[in-house]
Amino acid sequence: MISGQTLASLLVAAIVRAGLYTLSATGLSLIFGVMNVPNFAHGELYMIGAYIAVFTFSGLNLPPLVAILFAAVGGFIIGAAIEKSIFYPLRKRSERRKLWIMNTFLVTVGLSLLLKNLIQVIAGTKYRGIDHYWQGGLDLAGLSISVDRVVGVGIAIIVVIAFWLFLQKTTVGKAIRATAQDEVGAKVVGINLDNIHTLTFALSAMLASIAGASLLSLNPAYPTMGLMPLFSSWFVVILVGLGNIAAVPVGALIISLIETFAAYGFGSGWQRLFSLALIILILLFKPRGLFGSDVKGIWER
Amino acid sequence: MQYLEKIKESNYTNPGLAVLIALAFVPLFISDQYVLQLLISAMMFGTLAMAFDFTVGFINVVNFGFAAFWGIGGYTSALLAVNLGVSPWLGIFVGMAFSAFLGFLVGFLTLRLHGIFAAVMAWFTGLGLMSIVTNWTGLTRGPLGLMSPMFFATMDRGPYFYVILVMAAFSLLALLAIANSKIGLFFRAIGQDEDAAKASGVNPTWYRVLNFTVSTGIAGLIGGFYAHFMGILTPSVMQTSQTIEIMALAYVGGRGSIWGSLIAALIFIPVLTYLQPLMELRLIIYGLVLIGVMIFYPGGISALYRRVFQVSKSEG
Amino acid sequence: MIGPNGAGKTTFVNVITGLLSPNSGSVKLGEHEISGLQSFKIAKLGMGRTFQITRGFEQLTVTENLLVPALATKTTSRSEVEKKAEEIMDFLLIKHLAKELSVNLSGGQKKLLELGRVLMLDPSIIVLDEPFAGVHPELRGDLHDHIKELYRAGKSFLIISHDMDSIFKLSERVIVFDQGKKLIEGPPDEVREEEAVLEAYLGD
Repeated sequence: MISGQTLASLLVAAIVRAGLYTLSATGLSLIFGVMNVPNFAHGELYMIGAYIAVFTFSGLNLPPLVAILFAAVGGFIIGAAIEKSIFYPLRKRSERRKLWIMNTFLVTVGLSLLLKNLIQVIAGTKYRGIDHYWQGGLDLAGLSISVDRVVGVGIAIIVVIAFWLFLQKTTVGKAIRATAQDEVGAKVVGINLDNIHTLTFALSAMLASIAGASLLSLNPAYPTMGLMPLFSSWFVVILVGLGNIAAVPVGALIISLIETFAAYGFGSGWQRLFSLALIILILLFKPRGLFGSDVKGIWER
Repeated sequence: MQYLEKIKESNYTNPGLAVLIALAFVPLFISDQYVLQLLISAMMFGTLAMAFDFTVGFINVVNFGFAAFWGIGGYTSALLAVNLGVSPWLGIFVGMAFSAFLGFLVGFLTLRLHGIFAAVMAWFTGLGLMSIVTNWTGLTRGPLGLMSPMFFATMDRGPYFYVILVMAAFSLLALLAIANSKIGLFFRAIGQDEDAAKASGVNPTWYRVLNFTVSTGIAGLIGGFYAHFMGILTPSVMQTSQTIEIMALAYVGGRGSIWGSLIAALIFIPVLTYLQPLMELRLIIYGLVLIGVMIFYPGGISALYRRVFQVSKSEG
Repeated sequence: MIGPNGAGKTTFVNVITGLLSPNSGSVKLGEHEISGLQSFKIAKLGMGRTFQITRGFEQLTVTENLLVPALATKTTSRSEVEKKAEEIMDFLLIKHLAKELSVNLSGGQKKLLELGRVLMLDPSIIVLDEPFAGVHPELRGDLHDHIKELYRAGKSFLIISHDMDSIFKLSERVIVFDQGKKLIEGPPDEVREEEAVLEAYLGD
């Protein structure tokens, strides 16, 4: 039997993990919902955030929140640049929309290779981490958690809620949701699709970038660090249904509970197999995920 | 009739086979071990990419877990040799069969799925297999690496060269024979419109599973070669990045041609390995080439060849 | 078979051709109980169909398109199958397109090719889902002629259409479908008189 103490600490660990998974998976889901791009380079956007933060915090000696803010802005700009230079021309050239999803998937595979190795050229393969943003730990129900973790989850929750409000309440947010539901309709009512697509990709990059930056003390920056967040984001998004943003937190909680408890029960390393087994089962019986939504034109099922 | 012409001609005039025949003479003139090593590597990846193309270029499913099957074939053969003393020459075929069997199962898993969902399912099953191999350290030694006996006692690369050459030629001929038969026609029909194929009396279940079985079987065979050629195996052969390298070759070679993948590997692997000291540069080139081909020239090398030599449109 | 939009005509076709399985009831083709059978098996038993939105193998040539159904369902030799494909291309007047990739065909030519694929199955009954929608009037006449000729040659047809003119011109029996139910069935002249039909189309 697991003691109450252990159970509490496992639950806290799972919730922390879920918050961070939500932050990185939301962006992935958003891009698919609006642009129908299954982004394999999502982990690299996370990596970019980590590098910007380490440069700002350790290199320029600026305060932690500024470092995370810089990462957010940097991620946004880089995301916009990527959309304008790769997906915009691809969209203009694509006559056969049927092939769009798989073609963009492969393009993002190329993009992932490109970004990973460009960083390697610029910054080398060295691990660039920090000890902590903030000193000390908190006492929570008899458990000691580092302030960094608490702030990290806090940022994740705030950003996700703020993003949610942005999508629900603002005109631009509504335009993004309208585009996700019906691109032709959105065009008819005068929404500039090109701008919406660029903005969406930039926002998604920003969310991933914030996640990478706020977790810096736990995961140091290095070129291939994006692989783990890539896996976890994809697990969450496929579990709840590609493009279904609202269900992302639920999926994140399911995956992190499984991983936390499986790692505890079977030794770390095996946890991935458990989440994979669950997702494969769900894909088998519900190919569109647990809460598969009818997102606009998933042309290929 | 075009369909008949294809069967008669394409096997003999195929650029891939011509290149393999020419390669057979290389070791007679060149004994530089480094060059031979490069060509072995190129043929190995070329054959893997052909098997990958057999799925993506015909039934239109991206087997994004492909590298896992390569690894499974290698591990099966290596473990048999290490633990039971089975000869590598027998073990590689057991590895091939086991990998094909797993591919057969994954074929069923992806059956109802198309496009990105099929790719993700294959990806996740591949990651699952890799996760088992990595963590079952009692059997595989995990990341420490599994020492595997070599095919030959000699350090000379020449004999290995001919082994992989035979495997590549066998794979090319077998895949082309299927691709040019009515089975290949059904594959393409399913890949282009599954409902219309069903309405035409084609059983998609059987052909999709068959396709996966053949493709992953070849991956397993090449995995066996790799195990007894390198002498050591780590779970990293099953990584997604390996699948990506193979996939890039298949796309650059031109989907649906089979031989294009082999040519792409014979061009790219030596050139990129030559740039090996600049490892990241090599992968940047892969990234750029993949993006470039997808945006600007989706037909790849085989389409270029057809355009230059004016071979009819739907051939190959 | 006619009926207003959303009446369930295409669903009905999908059920009898095996793309959907029925929740209740049964489908029989001659002696065979075919409800719930997979569509490729139903095709082998001799029921061919076309799709409302034309389907086909875009990256195959016209000839190859025609070979698929025959090679999948028949055990005859390949040369015979090819001879038959030529006959059908002759019949449908698309012989000149034999080596063209079907993606390059016009909309009407794609419809003809789709009919050609159905004919290659050597079906006893042919189900056409909206065969006249979006077809050039001139080609529509050709299509009428093809159907009449095949009918004289002993093929049964089930034609689903919005095009009342074509339906009343071609059919021996007309079924009116509305809200998933058969409203009325009978010879064209009788059905034309029925007020229920007009109501289904015009009613509130």
